[in-house]
Amino acid sequence: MSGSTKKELLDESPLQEELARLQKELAEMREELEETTRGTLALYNEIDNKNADLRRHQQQLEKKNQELSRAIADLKTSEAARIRAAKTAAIGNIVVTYNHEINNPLAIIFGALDLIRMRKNMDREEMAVQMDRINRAADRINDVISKIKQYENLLPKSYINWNMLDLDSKSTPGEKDKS
Amino acid sequence: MNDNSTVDLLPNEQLEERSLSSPKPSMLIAEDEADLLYLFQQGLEMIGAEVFCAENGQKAWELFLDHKGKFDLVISDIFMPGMNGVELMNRVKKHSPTTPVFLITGYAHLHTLVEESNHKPDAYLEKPFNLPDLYKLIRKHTDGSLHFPNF
Repeated sequence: MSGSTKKELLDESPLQEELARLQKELAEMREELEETTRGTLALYNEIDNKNADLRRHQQQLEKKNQELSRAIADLKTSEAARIRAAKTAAIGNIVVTYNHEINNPLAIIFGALDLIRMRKNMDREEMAVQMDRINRAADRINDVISKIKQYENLLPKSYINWNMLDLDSKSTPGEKDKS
Repeated sequence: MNDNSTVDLLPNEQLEERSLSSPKPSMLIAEDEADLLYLFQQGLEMIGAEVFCAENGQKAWELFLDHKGKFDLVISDIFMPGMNGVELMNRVKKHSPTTPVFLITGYAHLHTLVEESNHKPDAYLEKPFNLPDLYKLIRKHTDGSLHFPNF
């Protein structure tokens, strides 16, 4: 080996040290960068998860909102149905009352007339009995019609699962005003 | 409803003669309206039926049990105090499924009571009805031993 070459090698030694230090620093920086990248990726993942959670919450809110809207609509419908049912019941009470209080005496009148027609040679006594029956039934119908004219004074009475106006009650027109 | 035509009824002697040749069909009537019950009785006896009357469902049921297997037909009002006509029908049908039961009603909505019940009536009689209406239904559900007038 020549003298100049030896000198060159001796001169290169600090450079190599510097190179090694730089390489080490670089490796540290790379590691730091990788760690930062990992941290950033984790942060991205977390943001994605939070976003997904938000979307889920939003969907749930939308669903709850729809349910609430439906419930309000149902409530409105059922309220309308309730009012309709109450009106129908009120009309039903009148119809039931008419049916019961008028159809029964009407059936008696028709039946008595049929019997008179069927028994061609009915004696006067039996005829009088049938006529009395017809009279009583006609009076009942007349009485019912008079009472129904004062509908507002009549109280309902329970009859199976319907209310019927209590035509036998003592209530008379003007009675409410007196009380 | 009722027309003004007259009716031809068999003379009493002839009725009695026919009644002797075959047993009278028996009918059980439950009706809380006394006048109507009486008219039922008369109207049905006039066509040759043996009639048992009850002024409510409970009495009708007791009569039914007292005369097991006797009745060819049960006719009952629906609206009665205590046991109503639908309950009476259910008991009769459970006990004797082939016995025809007619329900008398003036209220269309009461048919829902029947719809909810275990058994169905063989016919409805809508108040107010007349005897020809009743006879038509009875003719459909009984054998030929009754004597129906021509209205």
